[in-house]
Amino acid sequence: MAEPFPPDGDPNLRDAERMRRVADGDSAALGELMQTHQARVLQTAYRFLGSWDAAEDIVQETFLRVHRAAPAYRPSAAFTTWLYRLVVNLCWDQRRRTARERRLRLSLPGEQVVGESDATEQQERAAQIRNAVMALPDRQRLAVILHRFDGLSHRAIADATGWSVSAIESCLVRAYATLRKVLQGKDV
Amino acid sequence: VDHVNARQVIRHVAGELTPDERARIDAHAAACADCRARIAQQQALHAALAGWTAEPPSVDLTAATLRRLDAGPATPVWRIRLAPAMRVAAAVVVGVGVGYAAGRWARAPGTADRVAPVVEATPPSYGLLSEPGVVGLWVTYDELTDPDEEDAS
Repeated sequence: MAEPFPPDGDPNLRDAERMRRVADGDSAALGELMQTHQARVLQTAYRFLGSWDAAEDIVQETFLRVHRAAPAYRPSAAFTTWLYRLVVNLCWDQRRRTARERRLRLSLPGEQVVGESDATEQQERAAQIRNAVMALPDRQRLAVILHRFDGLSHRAIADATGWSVSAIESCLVRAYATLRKVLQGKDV
Repeated sequence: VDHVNARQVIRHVAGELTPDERARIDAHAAACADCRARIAQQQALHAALAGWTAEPPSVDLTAATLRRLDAGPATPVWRIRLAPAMRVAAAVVVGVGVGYAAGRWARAPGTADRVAPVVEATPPSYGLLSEPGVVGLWVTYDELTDPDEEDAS
């Protein structure tokens, strides 16, 4: 029986302990991991894929993989680093599948864009930013999401994506330059 | 004078510089209007991007995931969502294959007199593999391409 872990302890140690419990077959520990991290996973996936449905799928697949991988998990780095790697890989795979689907259908369904006439000013601003970010090339978009919205360092993005720090910085420079140009003069 | 480059500007605004690097850049920016302006632009963009608030729908993903776990090995959700499209694609491939095989049979010696008019009316269609002995639909998938590919490699 696992000893109760202090709720105010080091988050990394707490997550490592939860992973040990998941490996022991304690599904409640997986629930605790989900409660702690799913919002972040959901938002990251949504911002990259542009769809809540797809993002919800990513959340479920991510934590099912967490469950499967728990017996082999070794907490050599922060749990979130490992989690981001899973999320990025799943998002990337999903993006590829979507691209293939689009080619097969030969038509792209219209993106849902916030910004109807009754939208508030804040919603319109959010829609402009969303559209600008969504229009970035995939690599640049992913780099910006992990950097600006998830607050990851260049090193942490490199760990999550497997790209070099230099490549990530190059992506960020281009992406931010594009965003500055697109959002300029839009009162954003 | 070493101006602040774009990468340093991004790191500066994101708070990723070491104290020494930060002090050096701040000292330079204090005396350089161009670099000061570039840092201010990045700060403004950094702040503006916070305006994209993504409010997730209220769904209980924990319960759904644990249910899938209890149900044992499951089909990935994306595969479930793609299933109807895959069925249609499979039907198209089979249909085209059968049509192509029938066309080849019709063109075979001794059969032209029976179905020649039909063969004349249905030349090989776009996307159909027409090499002898090969039957199938010509579908290619380009891998995800990105203008930054060379930068990230």
